[in-house]
Amino acid sequence: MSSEWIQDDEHLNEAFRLSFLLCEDREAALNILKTALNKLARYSEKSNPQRALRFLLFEIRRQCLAQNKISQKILRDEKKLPGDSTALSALPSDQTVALLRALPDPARSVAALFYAAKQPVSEIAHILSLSENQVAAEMDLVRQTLRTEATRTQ
Amino acid sequence: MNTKTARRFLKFMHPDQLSSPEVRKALASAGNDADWKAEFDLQTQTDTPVADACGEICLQPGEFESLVSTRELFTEKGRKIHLSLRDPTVLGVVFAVLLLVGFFFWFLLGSLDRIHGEEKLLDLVKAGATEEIQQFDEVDSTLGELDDWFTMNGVSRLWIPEKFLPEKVLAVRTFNYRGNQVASALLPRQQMLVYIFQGKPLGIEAPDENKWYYAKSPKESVALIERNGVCFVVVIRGKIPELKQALQ
Repeated sequence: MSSEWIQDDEHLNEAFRLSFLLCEDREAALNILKTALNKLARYSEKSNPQRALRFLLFEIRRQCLAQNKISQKILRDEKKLPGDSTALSALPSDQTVALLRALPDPARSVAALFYAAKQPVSEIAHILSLSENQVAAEMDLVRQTLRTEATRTQ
Repeated sequence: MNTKTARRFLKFMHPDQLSSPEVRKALASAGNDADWKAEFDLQTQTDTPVADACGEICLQPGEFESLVSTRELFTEKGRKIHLSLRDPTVLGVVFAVLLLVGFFFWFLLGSLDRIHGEEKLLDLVKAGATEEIQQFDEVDSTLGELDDWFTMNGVSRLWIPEKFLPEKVLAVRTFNYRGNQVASALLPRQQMLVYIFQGKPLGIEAPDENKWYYAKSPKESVALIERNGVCFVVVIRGKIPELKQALQ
């Protein structure tokens, strides 16, 4: 039951992380989460956990996009620096989060749904109305961009 | 699980699932290709710090509390009835209520314009019409000149609209209807029958004084006007529009 799901603090944290990664600040993220939860409570399919979660994540992203004007651009496999994963490991958490938030959409949403909400590729594709191949390609570019940007930051 | 499926599955493996049975199974099926292994290691090395950084984003105690009321919406205690017009049940109920309210107002407005005790009035008219013509006294007079005649024949209170005072009368009579004297006159104009009586004792009243109200029996149309408790009723054989025209 979604009512049990929603009582789980960790699941609520995952929803908040998604909201936070797609929002400009913490307060806005919290407000968007509250609004989305209120909307979920009125959702006829809320007793189906998978559909309820999908609805909640979809609603959070929809509101974030509407409020924050996240730039929308397809990440290209440009000639970037090869990047170094150790540079990413060395970055403080807030800078890593800042790199995620600097991504354009849909890469930012793919990354947020994967890293913050721990969603499988099929759900990410469903929520973002993309094919699974597109999501996989975006994810490759997200990883490469994060490594490149982390290296550049250092 | 074949190699392709296993690698596809592992591409979206979350770092904290690394020790799960599904991931172990997929790793076993993913093959020993060195390039792929290097790519997978790089993926893991990238995902781990990013996932850890995301994991540090947590709701603070105060923020949790601010979500309590929202979360209560999902519990039996806090669940409220949400009415949405998109819900066909709610839409049906709203429609039914509107229909009932509309019907009530239609009934109310209709009753405002109807004679109180209309059925009793139609019964009185029916009783008046059953009398034989021989029971009438022939007169050669106007309605306005018959005050004395009616009074002497037991009708104590009379009122005749001014417009009807000069109307020619062919015959008159009085009759007892349920213990009350009723004055009756036959006019040559459209063979109108006129009745004059005190309405209240018979339970017949007009909603407002000095205004014509209409009723219809199978054969006749009836108009009633009242002043100071005295009802003046005009009956013709025909339809209400004809009667309205005759009264103009």
